[in-house]
Amino acid sequence: MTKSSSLFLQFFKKKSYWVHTIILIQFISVIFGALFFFLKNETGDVIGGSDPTVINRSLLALTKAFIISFPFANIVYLLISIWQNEKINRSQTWRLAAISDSKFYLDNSLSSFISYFYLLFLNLLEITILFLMTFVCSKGIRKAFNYSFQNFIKDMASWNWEYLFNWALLVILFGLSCYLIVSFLNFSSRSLIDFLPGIKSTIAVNFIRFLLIIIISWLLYKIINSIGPIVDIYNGVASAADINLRRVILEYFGFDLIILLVNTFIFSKFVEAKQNN
Amino acid sequence: MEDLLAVKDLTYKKNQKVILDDVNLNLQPGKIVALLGENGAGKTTLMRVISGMAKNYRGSVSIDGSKKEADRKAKLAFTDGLTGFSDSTKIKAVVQFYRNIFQDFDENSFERLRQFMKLDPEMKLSQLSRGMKEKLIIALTFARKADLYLLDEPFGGIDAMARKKIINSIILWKNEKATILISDHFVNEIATLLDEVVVLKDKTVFAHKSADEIRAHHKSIEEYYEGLYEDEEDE
Repeated sequence: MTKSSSLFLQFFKKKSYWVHTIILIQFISVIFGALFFFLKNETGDVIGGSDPTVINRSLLALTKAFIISFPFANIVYLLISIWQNEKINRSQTWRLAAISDSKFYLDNSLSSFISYFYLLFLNLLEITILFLMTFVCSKGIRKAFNYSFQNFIKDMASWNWEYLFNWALLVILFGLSCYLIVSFLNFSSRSLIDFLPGIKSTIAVNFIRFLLIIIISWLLYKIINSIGPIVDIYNGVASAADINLRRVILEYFGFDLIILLVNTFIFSKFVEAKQNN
Repeated sequence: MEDLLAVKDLTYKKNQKVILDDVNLNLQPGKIVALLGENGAGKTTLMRVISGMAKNYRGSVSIDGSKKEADRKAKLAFTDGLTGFSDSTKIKAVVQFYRNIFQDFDENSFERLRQFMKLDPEMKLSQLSRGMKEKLIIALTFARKADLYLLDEPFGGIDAMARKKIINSIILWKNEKATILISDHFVNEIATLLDEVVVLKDKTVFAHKSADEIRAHHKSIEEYYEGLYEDEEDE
C-alpha cells in the first residue's frame, strides 16, 4: 500500500515546483517594477551612482514593487493550484497509487492548500529580507520605523487578539473553500455528464455547472440560516463584531465540512480517472 | 487452486450505454492470458474496472481475495500512459516517482529492464518516440513485483525486432505466481507465451479457453480468433 505521507510529499513536490516558478517570475517582475519606480521618480544623474542615497531609493523601490506584486502572485498561484488539483484528481498516473480514494482526495487538496501557505511564507521571507536591508541602509527609514514601532507597541495593548485570530481563521477557511467549491463543481458535473446519455456539447456541460452553482448557493444559504441560531447561544458578553465574526466562521466551517464530505463521497464513488493511452 | 482474479457479474455503463454486460472471469495465479476483442469491445474498460480506474459498476472484482480498490491497486501493475507527468520530466524523475509511490517497485529490476530497453535515464519524456515511451512503460510496469499485470496494448509503437525480444523476455521478468492479462492486436506474436485466451464479444466474455485446447483444434490461436468473426463477415 502507498503511504499517505509519501503521496502527500509527492503532491507537495509537484506543487512546490509551481510555487518556485511563481516566485521566480515575481522576482523578475519586481526587479523591472522597481526599475520603473526608480526611473520615474529620479533623474538620470542617480543612475550615475554618485548619489549616496541610490541604495536606499533602490531598496524602497524594490519594496514598493514587491508589495504591489504580492496580491497578483497569490491570485495567480491560487488559480494554478486549483487547476493542478483538479488535473491530478483525474490523472490515471496518480490514481494508480495504492491508496483509498478518500485519502487520495484529502492528500491532494491539503497539499494544494499547504503549498499555498508555502508561497505566503516565501513571500513573507522576501519582504522581511527587503525590509531589513532597507532598515539597515536607510537612516530615514530607521527613524520612521522607530516612531511607528513605539506607537505600534502602545496600540498592541488595546488590540483584540481574538478578533485578529478569528480573521486569520476566516481567511484559512475561505482559502480552503475555493479548492472545495471548484472540486465540487468538477466532480458533480463530470459524474452527471458520465451518467446522462450522450451529453458532449460544451453548452450542456456549462448549463449543468450553472445549475450546480445555484445548488451551492442554496446550500450556503441553508447552512447560514441553520448555524446562525446555534452561535447566538454562545454569544455571552462578546462585542457585536466578535459575534458576527464567530458566526461567519462557524458558518464557513460548516460549509467547508459539508462540501468536503460530499466531495469525498462523489470522488470515491463516481469520479473516474481519465483514460490515457 | 484459488483464483487470483475473480470478476463476477460485472456490468458497466457509461452515458447509459452498456459497455460490459454480465462479465464473469476467473484467472488463476501464474498464467499468461490474452484478452482479445475488436476495437471498442471493452478490453481497456475491463482493465480499468479491475484496476479501480473506472467506477460505478455493478458486480464484484477481487484480486487474491481483496475487493477493496486500494488493496486491489496494491496487488496489480497497470500499463499507464504516463500522462500525469509533464513532457519535460526526465526518465529518472519518473523512476523516483514510482519508487516513492509503489512499495513493490524494485529499482534494480528497473535498471536491468532499462538497459535491456536501451533507455537513457537523462532523457525527457518529450524526447521519447512512441515506441521508446512504450518500452519505458513496460519497464516501469515489470519493475513492480505485482501479483497481476494488466498490459493494455503495450507493443503498438514498438518495432518488430524489439517487440519480439520483449515478448520473448516477458516470462523471465514476472514472478512465477504472477498472472499477466494482456490485450494486443499482434495475436501471432504473443501466441507462444499464452496459457489462456479470453475473447470479449457482444459486451461480455464470449470465450475463455486454454491455449493448448485451442492449438489442439485449430492451426493457430490467430486462426481461432479470426474464425469467431467469419460468420459476421459473411453476413
